[in-house]
Amino acid sequence: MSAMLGQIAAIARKDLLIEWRSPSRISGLFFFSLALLLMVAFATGASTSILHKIAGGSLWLGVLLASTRSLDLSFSIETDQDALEGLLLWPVDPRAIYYGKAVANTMVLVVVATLLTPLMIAMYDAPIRGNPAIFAGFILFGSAALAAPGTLYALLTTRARAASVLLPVLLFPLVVPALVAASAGTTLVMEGDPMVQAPSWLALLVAFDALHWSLGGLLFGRVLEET
Amino acid sequence: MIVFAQQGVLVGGWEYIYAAYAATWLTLGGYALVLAVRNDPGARWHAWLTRGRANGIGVAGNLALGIVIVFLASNGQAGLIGTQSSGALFVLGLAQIAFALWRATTLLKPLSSEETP
Amino acid sequence: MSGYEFGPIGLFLFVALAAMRSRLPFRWEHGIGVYGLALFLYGQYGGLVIAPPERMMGDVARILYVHVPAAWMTMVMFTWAFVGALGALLWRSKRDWFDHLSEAATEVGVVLGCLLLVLGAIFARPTWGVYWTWDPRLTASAIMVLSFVGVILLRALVAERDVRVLWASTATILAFVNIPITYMAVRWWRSMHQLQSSPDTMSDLYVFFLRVNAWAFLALATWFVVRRWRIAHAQALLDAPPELPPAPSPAAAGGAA
Repeated sequence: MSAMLGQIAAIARKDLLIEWRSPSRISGLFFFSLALLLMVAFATGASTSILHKIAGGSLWLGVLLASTRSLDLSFSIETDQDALEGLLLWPVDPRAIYYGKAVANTMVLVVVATLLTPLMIAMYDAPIRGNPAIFAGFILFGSAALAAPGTLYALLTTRARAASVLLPVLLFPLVVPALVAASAGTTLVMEGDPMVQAPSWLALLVAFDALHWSLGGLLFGRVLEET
Repeated sequence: MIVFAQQGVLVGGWEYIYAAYAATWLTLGGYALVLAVRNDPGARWHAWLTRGRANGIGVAGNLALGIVIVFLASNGQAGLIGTQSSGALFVLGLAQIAFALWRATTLLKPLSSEETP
Repeated sequence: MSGYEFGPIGLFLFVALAAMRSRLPFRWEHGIGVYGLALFLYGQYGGLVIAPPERMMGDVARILYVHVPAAWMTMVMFTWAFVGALGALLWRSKRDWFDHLSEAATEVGVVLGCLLLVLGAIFARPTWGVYWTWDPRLTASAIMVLSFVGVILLRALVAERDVRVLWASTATILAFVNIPITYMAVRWWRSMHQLQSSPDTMSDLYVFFLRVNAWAFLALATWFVVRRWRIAHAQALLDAPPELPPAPSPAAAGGAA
């Protein structure tokens, strides 16, 4: 068990190290999501009364769209120069590869969401009136919710045509519950959550994460050995 | 037309019922047809149907459109083409149907040797 | 309740008798298909003409005779697709059989699912005043159909057979697991969809023709799935690499030379 944890940590560290050395991915994603937040503001007429109601949802929309790019990139670093073969030759449990990559993807999305939050608060006039710890919880578990099925499907896009279209088509319906929970919860926390509903949404998000992180590990092993 | 009587009871609304049942029959029947065609690639009528696939789809589309227009015209929906005259819409629908049938006849020429599987 | 129950029984006997006396060779699913068609015609006629209008919704409730069976059958089809996906992943010797089941059931499910959404919109307009609303059941149904459309797209875009079977099965499992989760998540919002009516609150005749239509849909859907399964099977045979002749043994080659 500790061996597997070590493998997961090593793979996550590898991906994050690649990112750290040339942070093109995170900066690209950040500016992409920022552009999206701006576009949403323009598309809805930039009236603050509307904007601060949709702030939470727009944040998650930005993170969701960023995640499709991020997930594509997380496996393209493997297919460049056939790095994936090298990874497979290594005597590592394929589930460790999955969890390592999923952890790395989660971290990337957490960083992007964290960078976006102050900008969203400023642009949309939507301060966080509620508990910031719960807000942080939504960012963490929401990013994890996108990363888990996304990492699984991202492996597929290395083998399918029209991959950049297929990943969103497959991923988006799957993460709808997480998007609903994260958006609703985030909006509640930002408005102060007088009736304390946010923790229930967080619980749903955590349950979603638990299901998909375990299911993903199960399926990934099976898929990787035959891909 | 729907008439909302008092106490919230609905009266009428048969055009919705017809639309729903027609959609069901067309979908189920259409899919059965598609499956039949794909299942028997050697059948001669398959060759007929797939001859100039665009023609076949065009015939079906024209026919369907014509039937829908005639139906709407007979239910007083002439406003759809910006006219008060149901008669104009009715004639338009009939013309569509006639055109579809004419196109269908051009598809019914005997199969040439290179078309037969 | 009058003699309407003899309808399905009589139709069954008639179709079975006709099948037995027919000298035409035909595949077993056609028997189910013909019975399904007969039941369907009976059910549709019953729904349109024989059944009385509902107390509150009037005649518009007749739309439920097609909408509800379509909904049930969509779920059944996606369940079969899930079973096929599990079988394809777990039962290696019968992998192709299960994969064909999954492929067929997914396609039939998507066809019925799109029909379901359209019928729902047609029913919603006179009863709720709008074609669409974001209540849990509608939203979850739309997401469900979309997920399985994604699976069909996946099958179309992956070329190698083994990879395709594996990925389609994975995607089908994830899509199926997603249905209850999505429904539960979206249900925490306001709901306009009426609560499940138990048969006791509706007249016997209404329930009877609803059941007739449901069984008719099931029979037709089964026929669709088997037909589609055969197409998938034929396509797989077509795509399979040609069998190479066995390599000549050195002794034979030596003897010939």
